[in-house]
Amino acid sequence: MDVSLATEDQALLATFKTEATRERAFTAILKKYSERLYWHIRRLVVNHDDAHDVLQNVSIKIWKGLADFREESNLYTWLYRIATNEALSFLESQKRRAALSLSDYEGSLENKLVAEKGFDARKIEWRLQQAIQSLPEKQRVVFNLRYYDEMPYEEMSEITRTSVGALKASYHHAVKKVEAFFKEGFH
Amino acid sequence: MSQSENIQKELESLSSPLANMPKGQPFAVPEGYFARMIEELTATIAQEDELPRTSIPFEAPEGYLDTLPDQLRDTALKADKSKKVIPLSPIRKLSRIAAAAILLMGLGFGVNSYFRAKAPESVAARHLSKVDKESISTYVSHQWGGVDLETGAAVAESANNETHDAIAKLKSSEIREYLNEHRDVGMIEMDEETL
Repeated sequence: MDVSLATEDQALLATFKTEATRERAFTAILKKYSERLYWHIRRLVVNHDDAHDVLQNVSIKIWKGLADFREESNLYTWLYRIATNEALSFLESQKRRAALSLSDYEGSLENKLVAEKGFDARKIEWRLQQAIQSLPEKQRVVFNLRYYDEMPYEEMSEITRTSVGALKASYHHAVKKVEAFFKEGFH
Repeated sequence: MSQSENIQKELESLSSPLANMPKGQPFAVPEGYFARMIEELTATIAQEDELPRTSIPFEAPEGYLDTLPDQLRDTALKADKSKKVIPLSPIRKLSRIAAAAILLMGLGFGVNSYFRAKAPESVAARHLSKVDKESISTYVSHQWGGVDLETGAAVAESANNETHDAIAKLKSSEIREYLNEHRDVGMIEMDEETL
């Protein structure tokens, strides 16, 4: 992460610690990171309304947890960690609900993608999204963080609490699977 | 080298077609969503903060909650000290024993009657008593080759008596010897006194 950005985050955290400026600091943090967090969540849960609900929960968790944040990690990796966990919890709850109603969960994510406004299976960016949705959950997180958020492995390691080596292997596997998906699709 | 370039190089080293693909985001977002987002999120937080104050419409009497822990502790201690055992009066005790005894007797009688009724011997005797003597005699002569009922009974009686007499005449040493010989089939060696 950029040094100047990290310094800016430290200043925001210091502002947050003062009761009088707490809300202002929180709003500044949201302004800085909420859009990135939204896209990270959206790529995982696909649907906009679901992403918005998850983001609301994330912002509540940030508000409640920020006072106890000990700055052992970067603010933004901490925010991404909360967003990732919330998105995965949301998907888990959807899975449980699908199991109770005996419906197909994996199919429901695929259906959500197909139901998206402007979906066109012939367009490469939609095909890529279909390929990403076919990945296992954790691999999808790793792939998105690396490919779209362009995150260094060290920061991904803080977010996912996984070793850099394991993350590299996971990302390479994901890339190969996405490739295979494309090859199958275009045969 | 920037992070973006690093990632591009990594994809190229994997010879992945992803290296040459545009990274465009295909998802659509409602118009003006990001402009409203901060406002909406901070409103959610404000609502969340208000929840504890507004979600409980009940009120407790003034000062009730301050004294509540002490009150609960005193009540618990008092209840512990005032545990009493109330003894039964002799008449009530006696009536309980009598009721239990009647119940046991009734149960014993019932069980006894049940097993007696079920015993195969009594069932056979009951059925045989319904058959007339002549039919039994015909059956016995048919089965035992012309021996009539009286003769059969006399033979069985005499055989029984002979067995008893023979056993009575046996010496205890002979019985012990026999028992010791048949120890293998589960018999126990007995001394003279037992015999």
